[in-house]
Amino acid sequence: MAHATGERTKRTEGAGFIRLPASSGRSAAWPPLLLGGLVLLAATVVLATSIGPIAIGPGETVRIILSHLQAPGIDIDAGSAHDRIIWDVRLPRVLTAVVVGAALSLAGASYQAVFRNPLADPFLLGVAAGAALGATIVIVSPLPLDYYRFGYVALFAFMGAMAAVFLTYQLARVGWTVPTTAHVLAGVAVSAAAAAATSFLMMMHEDRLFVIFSWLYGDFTSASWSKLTSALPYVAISSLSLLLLGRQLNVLQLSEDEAKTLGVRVELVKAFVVLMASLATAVCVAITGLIGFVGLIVPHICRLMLGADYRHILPMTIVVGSTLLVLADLGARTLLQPQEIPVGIITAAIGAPFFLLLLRRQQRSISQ
Amino acid sequence: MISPRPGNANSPWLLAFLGAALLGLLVAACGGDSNSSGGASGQPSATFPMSVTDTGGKAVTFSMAPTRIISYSPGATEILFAIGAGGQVVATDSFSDYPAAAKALPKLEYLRPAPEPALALRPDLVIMAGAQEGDVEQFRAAGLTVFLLREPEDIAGVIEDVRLLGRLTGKAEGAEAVAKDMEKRVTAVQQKANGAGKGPLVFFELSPDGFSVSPNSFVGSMLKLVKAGNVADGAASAFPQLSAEVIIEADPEVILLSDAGEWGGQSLETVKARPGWSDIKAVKSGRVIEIDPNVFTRPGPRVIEALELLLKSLYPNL
Repeated sequence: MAHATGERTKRTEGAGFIRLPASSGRSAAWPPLLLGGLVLLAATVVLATSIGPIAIGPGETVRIILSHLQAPGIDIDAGSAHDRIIWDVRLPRVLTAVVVGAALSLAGASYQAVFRNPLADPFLLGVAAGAALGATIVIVSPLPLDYYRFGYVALFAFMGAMAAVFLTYQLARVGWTVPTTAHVLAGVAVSAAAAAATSFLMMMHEDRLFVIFSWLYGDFTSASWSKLTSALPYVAISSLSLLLLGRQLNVLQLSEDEAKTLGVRVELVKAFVVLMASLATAVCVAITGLIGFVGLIVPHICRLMLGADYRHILPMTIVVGSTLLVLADLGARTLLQPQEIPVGIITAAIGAPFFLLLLRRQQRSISQ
Repeated sequence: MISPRPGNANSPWLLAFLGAALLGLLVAACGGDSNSSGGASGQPSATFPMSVTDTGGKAVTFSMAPTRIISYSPGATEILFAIGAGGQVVATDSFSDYPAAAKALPKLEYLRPAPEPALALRPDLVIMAGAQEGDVEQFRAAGLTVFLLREPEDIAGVIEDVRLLGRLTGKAEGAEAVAKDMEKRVTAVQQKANGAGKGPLVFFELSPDGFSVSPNSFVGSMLKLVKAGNVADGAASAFPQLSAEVIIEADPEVILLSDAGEWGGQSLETVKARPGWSDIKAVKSGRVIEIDPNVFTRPGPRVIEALELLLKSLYPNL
């Protein structure tokens, strides 16, 4: 692996990419870091569930959750407003933020690995634009807006996202190989085409603009158990698949010829990773709309913590990404109460300065 | 806010207008309704030429009553037809769908309208709403007479608009009748609401993801008028998105759905199926009421119907 990271540094410097910290010496620290992160995540989830516009103490919060988990000896006022707020509204919302934060971050790291591009994010291949088009079609149609279930809006957003990824892949494919640059460019083209179609629908249905924009901003207000459980199997399958591919992603950081000599079936791995990362992203976008920056910055945070080894980075993105998004959503529902702030505004407000910081570090390391 | 104010003191038209207004006041003193709050808008009669200051502060001059009007404001369109100036309208924006005669007129873009299709219709007056404020200058540069009529903040503002549009279209009498009727009905609603004691708590839903109207929006002002409580009270913006938990905890007695039917498919059933909503008072008692957003949110004469409907659904025992 030392050989691999050495090669990586050389190549990325040549390409002008952000230099990834060498992994030697840091990788030993990753199990305690991951464990600490998990503990922090659990604490964040409990904290975020007990904080909201309506004041409900942490003790009552925990009792309500335990009673629904059939813990013995817990007696609560079942069906009370607090019970409904914690169990029906807040907990599914916080857990949705956990799942979406984890999936977007993991997908972002995977895309960055496959495309060997630190600016890659989960929306690189047209997922966002495809989902937006799908959702917009439903919003301007007479179909009901069943935001609280995995209904037409979510279904069409999901299909739009997957269709865009498929189209991007087909456009860039040469036989059974997909040149990376062509793949990214095809993603740009498909995104532009889908965005144009969305804009046209908006123009033809000006009276629905408000609803379309509120979907595009992305939020967790309509999170529900039913939506979460509809999305969970897809996220679980794709995330587990990606987590098992850390070694292959490391090897992909070499030149593709070298990767082949090391026994990695490059095209197959790339296609599979793209499919799984897109699946995770598409499901998230379908249930919460577009939430930017998380999938871009969390992989970089993890790289700064752990080095360049994807076997360590991938599990860490899950922990860091979900913690970050739970906190961002907590801000979204409490900073301007009783009013909501779209969570995308918060992730961008955190993400943009962080990203600038990252760029400055890179510039300094190049000038040295 | 929409009462016409005297603009440039050196405008000869203004002097002529003031003179005419004074004369009108003397001649028709008996017709005036004295409770008009701002400026000369209460005057039922006026003569041309006249100069009227629009809501952008620009003095717009009319040598005679306009006969080829384009209305880019659905609210203004409804007013024009209600006061008998419908025959002077030649085209409207795409949202102006009431009354039927207005719906049948040629349609123009509501957002970012281009001057050329408007020019082709040779209008002598173009009425623009807040949505087209950025296009006013371009239309004026193209030689069109543009009157900017920003959406009023409450029903009193709509009534002022009625009188204003009456004066500048030469239909002051028809406008006065409409305005008087609206004022009478507002007063009647207010009296009934005042006599009914404490009003119910209301959640007015714009979209299923929790967008609502705060007291400083147009619909919010109507809720205040009928003494209803508003779940979105205290929100920072006019159309805030509320967390579901805030709505559940507030436990409104009435939910008004402006996203029902063709507007978003919401109904008592879909609201009941939302997580945590089934035990809200309004849902349990079935007081989830589907309303037509055009009647409620469009600043035209039909807001009175909205207000009366509001009174009836909030106080069923009256």
